[in-house]
Amino acid sequence: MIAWLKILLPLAALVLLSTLFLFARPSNPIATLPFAQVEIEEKLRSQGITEPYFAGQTTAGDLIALRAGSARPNPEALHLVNSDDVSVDITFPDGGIARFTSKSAVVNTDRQTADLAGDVEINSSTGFDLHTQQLSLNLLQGRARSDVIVHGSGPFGEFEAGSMVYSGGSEGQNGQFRFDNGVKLIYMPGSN
Amino acid sequence: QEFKVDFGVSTSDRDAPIEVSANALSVDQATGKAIFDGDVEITQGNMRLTAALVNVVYDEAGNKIAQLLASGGVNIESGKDSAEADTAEYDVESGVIRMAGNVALLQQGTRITAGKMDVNLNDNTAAFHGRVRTVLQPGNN
Repeated sequence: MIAWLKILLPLAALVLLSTLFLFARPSNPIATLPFAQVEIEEKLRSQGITEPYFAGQTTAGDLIALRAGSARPNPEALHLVNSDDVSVDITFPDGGIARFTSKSAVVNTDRQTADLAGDVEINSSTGFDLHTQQLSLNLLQGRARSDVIVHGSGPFGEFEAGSMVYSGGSEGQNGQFRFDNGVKLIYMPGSN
Repeated sequence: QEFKVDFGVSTSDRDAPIEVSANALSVDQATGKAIFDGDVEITQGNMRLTAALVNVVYDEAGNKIAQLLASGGVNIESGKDSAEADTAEYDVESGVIRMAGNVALLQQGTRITAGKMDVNLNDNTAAFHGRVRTVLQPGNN
């Protein structure tokens, strides 16, 4: 009797095991993921990239990194990418940083430029901040230019200028912010 | 020897706001060094300084202006008096402007020239150093 059991029991186990996969409930993993239909449509329509990041080195040898909240290529002109909450950092060999931020920007991937618009701020690690409405940044050379009024504040006081050019450094020569078209500055000796 | 005269009218105080206007300003990204150039005009109280170029010098902490170095032909006016020189160093903290190079002071028709001149904005005096010559120009004041 035991001999029979030695054969019957493993066989029974085998049968049991095989039926396990036969009757298993077909679960489809894709369907269970919590994707709202609206989100899918929105993603399809915008074909945007979220949190794009671009980093490189300018011709002057400074490191440059562009970060944006979102980026959507312009359907008619794919080399133009509309982006929001843009931040461009230029890091210099001596560790100094010039950070350009704005609400929105149009990045031209052919010409490697970014036209920033809307609350454009520039913060330099040397302790001065600039504020303007529009600025175009050459990502390749690490240069920037703004043709509208620029407000600034720094160790030498509060100032306003008609326009501004930032020329990236070149061998042995540091980057220069140059304000043109009239500069007016007020410095309070007593205060800071 | 030192020779002192009154210069200009009493300005309010050393902490009066300083206004600077110029055609252009350039600031070095690494060092923060600032240079105003092109018809630079510095006014504080009723003192007005004009120059071709002004260099900003910070204090050690780097967050205050210690000196304004004006060059390229400097002219200072305060009240009815005016002074000119090649260069001028305005020491913002002490309120003294040290002028050097072809210094000349014009005051009610007299023209005083010297090697150097220090204009003190606190007590409105101008102190001359080096060879002082006074030229009376009758009839045109």
